[in-house]
Amino acid sequence: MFSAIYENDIAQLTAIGTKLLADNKPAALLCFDHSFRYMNKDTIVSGSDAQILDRTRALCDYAALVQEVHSALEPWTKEPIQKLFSFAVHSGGHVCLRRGTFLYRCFERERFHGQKSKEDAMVEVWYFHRLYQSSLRRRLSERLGAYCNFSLSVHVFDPCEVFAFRRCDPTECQRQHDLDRTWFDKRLQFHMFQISILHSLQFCSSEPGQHRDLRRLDIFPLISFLISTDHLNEACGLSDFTTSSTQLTIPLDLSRMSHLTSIDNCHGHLTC
Amino acid sequence: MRDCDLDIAEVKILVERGQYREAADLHIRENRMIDAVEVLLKDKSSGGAIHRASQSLLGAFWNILSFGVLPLELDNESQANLKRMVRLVGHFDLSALTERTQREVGSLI
Repeated sequence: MFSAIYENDIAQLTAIGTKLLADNKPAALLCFDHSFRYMNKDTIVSGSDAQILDRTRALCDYAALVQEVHSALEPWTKEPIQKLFSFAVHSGGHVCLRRGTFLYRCFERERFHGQKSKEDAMVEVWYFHRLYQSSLRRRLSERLGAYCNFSLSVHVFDPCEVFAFRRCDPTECQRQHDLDRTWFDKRLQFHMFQISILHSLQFCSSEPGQHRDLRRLDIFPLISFLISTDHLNEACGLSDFTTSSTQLTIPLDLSRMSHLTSIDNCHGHLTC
Repeated sequence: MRDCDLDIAEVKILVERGQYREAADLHIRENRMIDAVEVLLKDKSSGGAIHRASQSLLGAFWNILSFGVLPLELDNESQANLKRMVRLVGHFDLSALTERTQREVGSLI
């Protein structure tokens, strides 16, 4: 992991992060954080459909880890969190932020408005907790925001309509020509990940009004409902769905999804 | 400064005598983790030394590359230390460790 961080090996970091997810969450979080360190259009939207799905899945895992670490009770007392952020707890309810660390830089930005200080910082626990949570929320918000800005440029899951009229050159076209069940599942999975990311963005909004245009969706029951191909078959035969270049319409029985507040609110951001 | 010189001299003597563990202890006491790892890696006779070296190296890595810290943003001293640590990774004989530690250390370093 550390060698991959040193060599900036993004693919390796994503693979190690996924592997460590089950039994070493701090290390997995470190891997994912580095693997999305230069998040931009090229790193997120290029590649095959499988690569984009892997990358998006990793981003969702990253978001879940950040939320878990953020919500830890009394994080300053947890050894894995101390190690991850490299801070130390001193007697008398003070936390020592080491110079050069992430939390120290956030502290510096907040207290000294970006001016550099040469000493470690000693802060009270209540202040530490506030700094810790707001810094993590900001970090996640930046990463997810970058993803949202560019994910609409992903076309590998879109159906190619021109192909139906034999006017498309499949060697150059990035859209899908084989509109089969595999394609449908991948496209659906991609959109579900996008909704999950919107959900995480909700978590990041620390102030009322931020991301106000995104309404909360109780998406996890929806994901489990939709991803299951059995349910899909039950809810809609593959021959029943219709597609257009901007919209995928699934004739689902919406009365079975009464937990949704509104799905239309996503349309400004996602091509659901 | 004088204390430090004496300290280094003592480490040298201990290493010459093959007392690697004691020499490493001295380095660790003075927070010279990378020096401690180098000394421990010289001890080919015991798996315990490799295990300790791996834990010390991991500790040093976590200290330098904690969350949100990019290698390129480190100060000169930390960058030099990081280079030394990455070089040391290549000197590890993980087969001397238990299977579980091998897996853990192998994926982290």
